[in-house]
Amino acid sequence: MQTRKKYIFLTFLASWLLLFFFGGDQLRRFAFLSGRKAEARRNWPRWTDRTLLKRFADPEELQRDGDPSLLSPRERRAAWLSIYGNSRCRMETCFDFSRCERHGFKVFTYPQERGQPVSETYGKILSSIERSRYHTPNPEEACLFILSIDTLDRDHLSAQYVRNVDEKIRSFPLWNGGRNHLIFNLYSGTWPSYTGELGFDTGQAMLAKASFDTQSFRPGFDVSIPLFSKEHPQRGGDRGWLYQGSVPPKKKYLLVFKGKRYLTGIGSGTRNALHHIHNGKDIISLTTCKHGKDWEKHKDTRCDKDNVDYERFDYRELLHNSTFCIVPRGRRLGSFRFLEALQAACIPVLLSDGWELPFAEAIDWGKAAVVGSERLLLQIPSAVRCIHPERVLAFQQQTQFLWDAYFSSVDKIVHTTLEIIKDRLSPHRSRSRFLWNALPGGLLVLPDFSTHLGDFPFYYLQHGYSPSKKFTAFIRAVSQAGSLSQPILRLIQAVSASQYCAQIVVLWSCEKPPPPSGKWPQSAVPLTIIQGRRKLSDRFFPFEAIQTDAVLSLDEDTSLSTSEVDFAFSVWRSFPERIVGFPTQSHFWDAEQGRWGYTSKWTNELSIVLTAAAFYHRYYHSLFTEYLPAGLRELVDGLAACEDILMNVLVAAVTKLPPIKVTQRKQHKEGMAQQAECRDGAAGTPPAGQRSPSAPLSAPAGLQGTAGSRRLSQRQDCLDQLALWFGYMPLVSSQLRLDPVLFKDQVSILRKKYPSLEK
Amino acid sequence: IMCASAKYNTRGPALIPRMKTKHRIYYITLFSIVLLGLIATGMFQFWPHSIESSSDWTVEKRSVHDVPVVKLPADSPIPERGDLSCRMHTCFDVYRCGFNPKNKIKVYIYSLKKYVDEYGTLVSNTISREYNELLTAISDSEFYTDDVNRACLFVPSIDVLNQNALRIKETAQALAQLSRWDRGTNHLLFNMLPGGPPDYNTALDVPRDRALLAGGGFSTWTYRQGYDVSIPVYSPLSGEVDLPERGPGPRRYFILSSQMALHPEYRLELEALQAENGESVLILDKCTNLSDGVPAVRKRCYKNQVFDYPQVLQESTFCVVLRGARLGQAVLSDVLQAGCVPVIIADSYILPFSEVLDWKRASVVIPEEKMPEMYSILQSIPQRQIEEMQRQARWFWEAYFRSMKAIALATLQIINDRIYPYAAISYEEWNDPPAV
Repeated sequence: MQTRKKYIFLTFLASWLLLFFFGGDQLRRFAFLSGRKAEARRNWPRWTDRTLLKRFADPEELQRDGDPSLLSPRERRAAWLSIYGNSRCRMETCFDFSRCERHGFKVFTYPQERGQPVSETYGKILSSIERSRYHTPNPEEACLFILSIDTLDRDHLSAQYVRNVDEKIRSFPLWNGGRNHLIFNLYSGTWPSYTGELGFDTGQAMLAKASFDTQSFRPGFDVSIPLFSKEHPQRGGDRGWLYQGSVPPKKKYLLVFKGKRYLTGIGSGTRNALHHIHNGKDIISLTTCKHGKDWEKHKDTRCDKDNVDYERFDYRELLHNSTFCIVPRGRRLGSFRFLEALQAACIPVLLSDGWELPFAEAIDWGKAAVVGSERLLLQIPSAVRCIHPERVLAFQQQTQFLWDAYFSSVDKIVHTTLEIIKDRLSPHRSRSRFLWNALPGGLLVLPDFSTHLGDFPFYYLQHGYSPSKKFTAFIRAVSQAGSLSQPILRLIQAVSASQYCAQIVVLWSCEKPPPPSGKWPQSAVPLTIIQGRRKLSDRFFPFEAIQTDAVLSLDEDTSLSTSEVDFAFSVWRSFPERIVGFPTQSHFWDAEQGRWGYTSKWTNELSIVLTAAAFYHRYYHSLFTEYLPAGLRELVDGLAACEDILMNVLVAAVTKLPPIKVTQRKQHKEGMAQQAECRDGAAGTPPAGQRSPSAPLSAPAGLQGTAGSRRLSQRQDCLDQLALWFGYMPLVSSQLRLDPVLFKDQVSILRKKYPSLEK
Repeated sequence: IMCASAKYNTRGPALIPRMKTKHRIYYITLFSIVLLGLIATGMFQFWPHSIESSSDWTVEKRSVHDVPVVKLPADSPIPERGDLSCRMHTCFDVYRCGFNPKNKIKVYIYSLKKYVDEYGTLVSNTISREYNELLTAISDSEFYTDDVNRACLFVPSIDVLNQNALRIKETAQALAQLSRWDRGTNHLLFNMLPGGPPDYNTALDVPRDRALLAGGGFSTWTYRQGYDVSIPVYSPLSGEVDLPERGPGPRRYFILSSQMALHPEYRLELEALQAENGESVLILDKCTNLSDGVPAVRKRCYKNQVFDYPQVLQESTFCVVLRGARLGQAVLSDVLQAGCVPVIIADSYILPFSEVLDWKRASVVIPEEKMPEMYSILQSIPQRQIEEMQRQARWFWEAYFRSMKAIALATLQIINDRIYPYAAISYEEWNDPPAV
């Protein structure tokens, strides 16, 4: 028995060894080294003679690049015109750049014809253009033309369909084959195919069209716009639903859809499948068959149950409570729900193959929406589940930014369209993709001011720049001629003593000429005098003389000390996009009168910093003069004390942030005696004393009192009109004042950086 | 571990004393033999083999000339011409890509073959050095799969980088007979020099049906947005010449033109610019009186002065990149490498990787009509922005132009991002240079 056992053992041992010696190879492949299996895949071979292979092109051939003497560039460009017809228009072939050279980018709208009413929406579009800063009433100087014929609805079954457009267009002397024309359209084609046809010959005109499909879209020529409803506001527009500074809680639903299910026809492929992803828990996909007149004819077994479920949920409630919203194609590619989801911070999950997304030339939709494929509907739930919560938040924030920057009103949609076209005219002076997709958005960034990010107040943090370390003191003088008043001399002295002051610029807005240079005080910094045009809006004109990022705006009778200036400037450098200043005022909602009220009382809130003593970025001068429509500036010139409110409104509209108040030395009651005397026109400056916060109410009775109340009512008026122009009240209130760290602390005055502030 | 060893100790002695000493010795010997055998096996199997094996079954020691030959009958099918209306949702079979947690497409490369026509003449050079580098890069990347059934994208090993080096009809036939061709669905072709005399088409003339084209030199008319990928024309100098990065800042010349084969009309306009602005504009041309042995591609001349190319590019702030017969120019790569800001004058040209790269941050695009205004346009750019563009230009070269590998991987990433858009690489990742 022992021997047998021994032999068994030996055989066992031998076979084991044999297995290892000969079969190890296979074993290793399959069992032991599964981790290394990847190495065993058949890669592209490393050819032994790979270094001897010929190059794909001889270096000489690359540099010579064919025979250059073939076709002259000019001839070639001319040939393009004939080769590529209207359906393949590009800016180089179908747009006459020379029209835009002399007068810049000007837009002319054809005058309205009698008996030719336009729809409400088209009316809004036209008035947006007329309100824009590019509008011109003169066709001679126009670069872009907009028809007065309503071309929004080109579904010939629709009530608003305009007939015989071809004939009408041909009768326009300016039509010129459609060259330099822009045609707006929201609905094209009709049942059953809903093609992109407009039903008339658009010639070489550009199209700004909703539901554009990538195949008929002429890249770099047409513009895809979003579909918006009749109720879309003309200006202002509603805010997004995600509030600034609030991180949205985890929402109840992950993915929702509520809408029609097409049983037949175009788009039914997608709409008919949506109910498959409904799980009743975090994914809600509700469909109804009820649409059109004869839905019951096509009705299937699901319809009745689905219709019941459909009624149980409210569309808006779902929008509010979901992280992602499915935005499938309808009959056409675009749908209203796209903008609705965007506003609601419900991340759109697009199921609309071949849709040229709105403003895709400028907007990076990959940051705000999930572009799904209609064919892969069933992958959507797992795909959105895999998106990291941080990215979800980034998506949500981007939807809000885009909504607010480009979509919340008809004005914004139309102006974005115009800016995109304007950017094409001079590619070297256009916005980069970054500018379009970062706060505060492309509309508020003027490439004519600069194309460098560091010149704007908005990008310092992101790009690690910082504003220049010096400021320009910009003093507006309106006082008497001949000699200089005491306050302005003191002011120049105080400001020029600041180590951060680079230069002083005096805007002389008086009829009489400024005193000769010898009369001005000697200071360490250069002093420039500019003769103004005696308009109030002059004060915010982008003068070439202003070279620094920071501007310290001053009135001649402002009284400031050097440490106040120094401290305020150091605060501004931390908040370069805001207005930082001393005297403040505020606005409030006057429920009794149902309008915005204005007050200069000492209150615990502030929303306006007076530009009589304030730091801000010089870019705001450019925005004020070039971005705001001329009508607004005329309004300001007409009212006595409106320009600083407009500046505050503008900055608040851009940044959506309140201004900042910094510590001010205790106000001396400056004598009312030193008031401006140069008040011989509408453009006169208000009395100085009343600009200090306490003034209007504490002003002496009599003449002073009536002047004060007149001013107050004018400012009130101004605020009202501005709210009307902007379509909402951009001002933001704040309860914050910034003091130096040891301000009023019980420590030795020697340890304080700004001791004189407490005197 | 403590627990386990204690248990072992209590059991061990109980087992062994039961046996006789003779048996114990026998068992111990047996056990040691087994152990030694095991160790020996391990040594033998794992150590020497691993060296041998890597050369044994992963890499074939073969020459390009030894690849199998395929004969194309004259009447073998030709694919349709490229379909201009193709988009991802119409011509691409997305079901092949599937949903996977890594969100990576799988790319298959056909094995290399030599194609000959009926008479045995070669259809094209088997493969160029650059295309081999490109395929090697794909094969080494995480996109690669060797399983044709799991692949989402197919890359033929037929080299079409340079249209002039191939026979159009036969190449098309070679494409059509690929095992998974299926009208070119999900096939990706790389082409850098499209078109040929006299009209120099801006896209590869080889009929390719639905295949995607990664092409250098697309115009807006041939580029199928969202379907094709615009790639750079690789400059072999990238690999040969080492230009150290030069800090941003003003340079000796303001505008430099280094291209040799400019159309006389362009050259006249450039010379007019030079006449107006003097020293700061330098227009170079080919050298006429070079001694033998000096490669003409590495020298440029202005009057009697000889300059080294591409080193001279580093001496200028802006470098003109004009279109030639083709829109895509290899000089763009040299210019970026030198950290010179390219001034691109080529109407309707689709810039390389324009789907993801923000060229406004690295270049100045000027319409051909506005060439006379070039100097004033460039002067209006703030100095700080120029410095940033110089840095950005160099970074684009390093990341996307430097080698065939960089070009191949960027192309695949772009296609990957279209298929898995929710996992796509962001604008910042594509465009922002890595923080120092």
